[in-house]
Amino acid sequence: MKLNKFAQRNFLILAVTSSFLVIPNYVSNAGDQVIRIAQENFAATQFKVFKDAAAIYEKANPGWKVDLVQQDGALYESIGETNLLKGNNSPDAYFDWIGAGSNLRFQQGFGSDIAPYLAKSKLTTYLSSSVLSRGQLNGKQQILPFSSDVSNVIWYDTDEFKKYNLTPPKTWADLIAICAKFKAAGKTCFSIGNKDKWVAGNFFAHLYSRTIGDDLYGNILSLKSPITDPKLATALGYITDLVKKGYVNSDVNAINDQEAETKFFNNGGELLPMGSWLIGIAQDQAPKKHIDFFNLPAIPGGLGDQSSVLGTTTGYIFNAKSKHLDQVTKFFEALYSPQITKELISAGYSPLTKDATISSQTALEQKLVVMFNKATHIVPPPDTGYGQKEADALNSATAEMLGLVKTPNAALTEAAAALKTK
Amino acid sequence: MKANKTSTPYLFLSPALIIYGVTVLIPILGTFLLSFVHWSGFGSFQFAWISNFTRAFTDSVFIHSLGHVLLYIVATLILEVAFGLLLAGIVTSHKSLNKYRVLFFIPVLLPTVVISVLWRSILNFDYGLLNGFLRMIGLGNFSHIWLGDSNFSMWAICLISGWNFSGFYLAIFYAGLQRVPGEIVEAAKLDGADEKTILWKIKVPMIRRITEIAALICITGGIQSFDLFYILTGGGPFHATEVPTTYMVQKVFQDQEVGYGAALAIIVTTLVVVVGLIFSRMRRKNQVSLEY
Repeated sequence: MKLNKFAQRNFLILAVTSSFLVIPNYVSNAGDQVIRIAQENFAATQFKVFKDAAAIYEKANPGWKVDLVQQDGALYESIGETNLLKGNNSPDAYFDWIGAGSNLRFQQGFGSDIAPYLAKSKLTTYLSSSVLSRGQLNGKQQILPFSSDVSNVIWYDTDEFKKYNLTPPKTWADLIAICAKFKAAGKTCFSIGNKDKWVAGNFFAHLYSRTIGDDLYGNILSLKSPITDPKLATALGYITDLVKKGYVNSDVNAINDQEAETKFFNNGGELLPMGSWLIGIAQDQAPKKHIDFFNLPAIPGGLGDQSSVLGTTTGYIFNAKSKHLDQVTKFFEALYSPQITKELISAGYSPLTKDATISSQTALEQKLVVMFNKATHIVPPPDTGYGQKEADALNSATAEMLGLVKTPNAALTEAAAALKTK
Repeated sequence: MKANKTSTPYLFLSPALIIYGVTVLIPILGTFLLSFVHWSGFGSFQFAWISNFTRAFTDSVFIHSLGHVLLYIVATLILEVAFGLLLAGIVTSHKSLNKYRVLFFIPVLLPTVVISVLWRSILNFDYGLLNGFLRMIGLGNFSHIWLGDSNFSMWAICLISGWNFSGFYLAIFYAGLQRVPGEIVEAAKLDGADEKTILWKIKVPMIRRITEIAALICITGGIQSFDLFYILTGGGPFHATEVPTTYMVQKVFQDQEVGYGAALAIIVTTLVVVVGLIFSRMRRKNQVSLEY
């Protein structure tokens, strides 16, 4: 076909326009020497540590670069991680919580057995076999353990406790007595920001496992036992009791975790259920406030392990679709090195490397690590230890208890209905 | 130069058609097809026939979300369209008030995220301006957890939406009212009509077409509303402010039920199209009009 000049020009325009649609895809995939590591967003100090690790790696591996992909925590947990993995430039390794979620990634084909890479790296000298075993499932090293997070303890202001002559409670009755004392003084006992459901979800999930037993708790969230179990309904009654006595902030379901933290830092609430990461937040936002924590006190007649800790181990999954897993392994050798371990601890992390135990930590950090390591049972939180839908059903029931909008049985019936529809 | 090739117009159109196809048509077709499968977003599909649709009409949260959106539309027709029309009438009737147009329009210029964060602060139970003001004037008993109480949260969002968008409708109506011929207004004045009568008996009927378009924008926009709800309450508390779009996001991204979410999207899109068709049919029936 012979085209006149006008038509030739039209084809040229079409070709140029089409190229705008096609070229970026090729450019982004063009034989790059880049490894992409995805995870939740970092605080500035934490990001610097990862940059330092990347610099060590890049110096030892000329020509290779590290792209640290970070996303807002809630976004990463809900849609971010999924979208990153489905994209054309999916990360070579990505952060995850050890549990049902990380196992699901493997089933979806986004996880590679890390064991062969460990065998030829220094990582086995940095991590003990017991730590590594936390990331093993179905005979595979699914995840490279990175840090331990205590997902919920109860934080308090030590000055306030001194002022009211209080000591950390040993039993649930002691905790109620503390709340009664604060209420008598015109103060709100608990500051909970449950707009996104996971804060109270975590706190009371621990109470559920202590009350109904760790096995039943796990079975309910794994859909092996019905969520309408009468024992769980009884456990939900503890929340009704707290709310009816006026021990929980009345805007509990309206504010988020950060707003509840602000309340706590400004003495708008005396007890704050929150995870170990509060240390770093307190350092930034309320450096003069003297805080300490206690674990959930023992529940009378509880069927679960009364010295359990609600916690999770985080780590990195090697993406099965990556072509650079040897390089990824080298990056993690830098990240887990003694030098970077020290920096990670200073930035508020609780890394799991052998060096972490001999490095300098603040008193609170040490106390958390000791509590985690001594725990006779680690209870996984609903949202990171189990499926999102199961976690949402239980957390919604918890939120309804806090809002006093349903009876325990009605809330659990609704949760069961939500779990059925799939 | 003479363009004598029949292919020439298509060549000119093709870049736009390609972009439109890739960004609009293919996603719509893809969503339609996805609504007939069970899919988590990964792995293989499982054919679901129409079960996603039948489930939607027995899903109490989704049914309630339709009720919420209906309430929101009715409220915003009053708080945005009717109030915007009233403001436009007042502003055009009194020249001295002309400068206030800008003030009413400022909220429209602000990003929804900014507005949501601003109102979250204003309505905060502890340090919010509203409760602070109520306490200051001795009405502390009326202070409330505006966004955390299922009895109030929906109304709070409607009011915020009214505050946000009434300025937009004011601008539309103001432009329409400005076009009403001066002679007609003058003649009415000579007949002894006051400003109120002129507005409601002459100006408003003459801009009926604009009012219909404004109502259509408000209704279809209401069905598609998402951002205010998502940022202010996330559909909570206890689904009290759940609208189809927030529920869709939860189903697709949190619960990874892509097929069900796609079915919800198809239902919502159908609703928007049906409303649009009903409106255009009604407009065709009422061709006789006083409009200039």
